[in-house]
Amino acid sequence: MIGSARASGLFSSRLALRLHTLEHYVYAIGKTEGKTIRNNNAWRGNVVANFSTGKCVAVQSNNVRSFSTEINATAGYSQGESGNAHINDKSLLQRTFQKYSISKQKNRILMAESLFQAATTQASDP
Amino acid sequence: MSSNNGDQLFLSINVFVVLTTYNFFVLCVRRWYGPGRIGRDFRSYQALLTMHIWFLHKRLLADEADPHTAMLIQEELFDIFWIDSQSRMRAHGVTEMLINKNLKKVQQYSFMHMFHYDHCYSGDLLENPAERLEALKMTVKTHILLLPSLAPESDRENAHRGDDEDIDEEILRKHVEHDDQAERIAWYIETQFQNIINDLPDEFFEKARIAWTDLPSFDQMIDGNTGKELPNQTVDPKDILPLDWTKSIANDGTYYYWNLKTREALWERPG
Repeated sequence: MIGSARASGLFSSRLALRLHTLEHYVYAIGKTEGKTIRNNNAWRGNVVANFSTGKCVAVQSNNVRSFSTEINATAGYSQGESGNAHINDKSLLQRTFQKYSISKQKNRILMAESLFQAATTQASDP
Repeated sequence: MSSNNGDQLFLSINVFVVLTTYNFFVLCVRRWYGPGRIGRDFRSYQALLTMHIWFLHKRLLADEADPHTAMLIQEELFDIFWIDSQSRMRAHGVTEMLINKNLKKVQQYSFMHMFHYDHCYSGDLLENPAERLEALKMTVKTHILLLPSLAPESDRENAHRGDDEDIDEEILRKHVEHDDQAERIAWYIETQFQNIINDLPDEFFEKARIAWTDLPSFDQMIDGNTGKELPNQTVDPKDILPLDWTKSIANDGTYYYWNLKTREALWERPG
């Protein structure tokens, strides 16, 4: 009950008042080099060395938790999962719709809330 | 006679259970607080949270299917992060008039923390794993273990004898003391980065189902100054919640607990 009350309260307050800071934008815009990092295997050297020397300090676990059952995988983030390249070439109208549509905003907030809960759990001794 | 044997068996089983439980909590449990010797203050927790937010942020930036939506989700994620930071400030007793002022300070050191991770995974360091590990260790010491900054080696060599040198030596001693702890956390960052950026399947991430790697083991940590093993730290029973329960915070800074399966929420800590 408390959780849902909090979630709905945050949802409405976030729709009404977006808390964007200057630093946030500077940080987000300035970090575009991350887009290619998934294709670059050079940085993986340490982890390979770590496993080969048996000094592994972290192993893959099965702690896949879901914090929200309401994320609609077809309505928000994953609508680009078809892999169509043209999805990146959104028109201004498409971008505006995606940003301000209630359903897409709701889905984004649910997604971000779930990601944040995952981070919180891992940072607080899961 | 048979009753005595039964009692002895019962006692043996109890001793076995107690020892197993003791070993489980003292030696096997991977935890930041207690065994990991991470401080329980606001800033240490903020640093751990910043680290994990950064992993998710990098994964969102790496999204190639729909970068626009990923960017919007990232904005929401940071909004939630700052709202949560404000709530935790209230829990620490910061008055409402000082919340925004303190938030700005928190944002400054959180972004600096993230910039240091970015630095480790860009430019020359991206292709030099050994140097990157050293840079990660320094980032961990500065932002998570909250050790004072160490002057560059050249400056230390040129320092004149006096108070400044004594201070430098004291800082260096602290850095060496925490070297093993920082290295374990640095390995964790390396492994987690690979896991979140490369190994976590898209179909999981798109539903915000994050499979983190396990926390680092903090068993048998070495004091870098003496070379001796540090005594293992016990887990505070208050840190352990029943299965499926998690702790969260309301906007006014009050902590509450909710069950991930049943969605039940309680103000009081569950049994």
